[in-house]
Amino acid sequence: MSEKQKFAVFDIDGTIYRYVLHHAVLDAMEDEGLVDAEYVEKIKAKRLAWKNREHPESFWDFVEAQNSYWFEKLTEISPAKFKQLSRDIVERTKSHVYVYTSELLKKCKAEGRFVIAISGSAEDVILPFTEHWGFDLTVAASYEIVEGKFTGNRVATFKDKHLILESIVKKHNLSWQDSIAVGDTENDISLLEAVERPIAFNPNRTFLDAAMARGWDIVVERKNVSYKMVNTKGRYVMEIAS
Amino acid sequence: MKKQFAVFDIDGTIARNSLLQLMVRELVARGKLGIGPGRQIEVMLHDYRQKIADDNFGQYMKQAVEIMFKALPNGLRIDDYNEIIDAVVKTSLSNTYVYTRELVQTLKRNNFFLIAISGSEVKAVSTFSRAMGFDAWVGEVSYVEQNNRLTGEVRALQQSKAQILNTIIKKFDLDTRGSTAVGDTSSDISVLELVESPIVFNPNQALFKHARDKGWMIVLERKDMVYGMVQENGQYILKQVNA
Repeated sequence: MSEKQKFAVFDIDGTIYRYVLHHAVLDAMEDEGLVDAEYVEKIKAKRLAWKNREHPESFWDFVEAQNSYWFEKLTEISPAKFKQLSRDIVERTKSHVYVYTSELLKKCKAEGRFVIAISGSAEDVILPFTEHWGFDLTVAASYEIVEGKFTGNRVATFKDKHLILESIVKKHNLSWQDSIAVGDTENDISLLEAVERPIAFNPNRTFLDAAMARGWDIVVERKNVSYKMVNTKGRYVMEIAS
Repeated sequence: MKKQFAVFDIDGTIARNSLLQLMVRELVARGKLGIGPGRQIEVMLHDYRQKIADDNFGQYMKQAVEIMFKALPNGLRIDDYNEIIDAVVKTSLSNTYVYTRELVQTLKRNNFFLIAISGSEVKAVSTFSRAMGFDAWVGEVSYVEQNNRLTGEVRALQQSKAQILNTIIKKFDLDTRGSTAVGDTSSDISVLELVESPIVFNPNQALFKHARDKGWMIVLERKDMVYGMVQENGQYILKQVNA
């Protein structure tokens, strides 16, 4: 009987990619004048508040503003244009990745692991990115297109990631043994709870609280130095930094 | 009684962006610098930040400044430059790291003599430091002025940050006992060596390695989470996490 293949699952935005791919495309749309002026004004204030770290929720505030615009105007946005901009963004920024996680990804592949990406960003931008990085399987948000237009219907993939993972593991007959999951926000909690080796990478506050409460490994990368903190007898000890 | 002091680097330690980077953006926004050279400099400074064990930030800064002045064929009027500095400092002041800005305020409340020593240009450093409530400051680079314009010539102080600090300590008769310093790159090592409680903040690789060998405290700030790590028996323990 052949051994089941081991796996590693990664979130993409903020975990491997240094920004949020979907938002990078929205920014590109703004640069090209493809979004309306009202949105630009609304988003400018929120982006500035985030840049100035005016309050703890400013990032999510900004993200939410971009997301609400996206969903409001989805049916007016050209799928072809979105796809083209997505490819451009990936082409230009595919190497804007964190050192720790991209190296871990390479190591997992070298070990013969089945490497999975689960992302809440749109397929159009995630697939070219994960293809470049050699993922075996990618699950990202898909948007229904009928007669060349977005209908507004979509499959969301940013939450309950563990359910997505479970069906993948079953379908591909993978092993839960020694399984690895890496994420950076609370959307990844359920994913990390499902595996044997959870890693919280550059966590935000909510995710860090959850990670520390569960004693998960924490890795913080800053200026290309990555610090791995491991729960040892109730304290977090820096195991390695490279 | 001698006053206790604290020394801070600015770029990357208090300010999230380098003053030079903000200056370039401002020049482009005002149409004084072309987008081409602007982007070139941005990429250069950005690439530096991604380099792994880089000690040579000085080199990149120098090159970046050269490109900047080369792309300003008629130099820059002093009035314009002063306006730009004000805009840059304003942006910079609202783009600071939580850990260091709060540390500055706490030390100030506790009557520490606050010193800023930066590799950036004197006027920008002076305006920034003054606004943050510092007591003394030194910018290592100055842009030469003539006939109401910046000529494009750049002068750099031929002193290490440690020498600069020693001069300040002597001049203001400061006490090294209880002193602290915060820096983020290897150019801050000489200053960190001089104080009682050195703090390494978001270090680059070279500084991290030095800190680890010396057992210095390391503080990281990422996604607004602040991690304080202290060495105990040769290992770093996570002592404090703040949002």
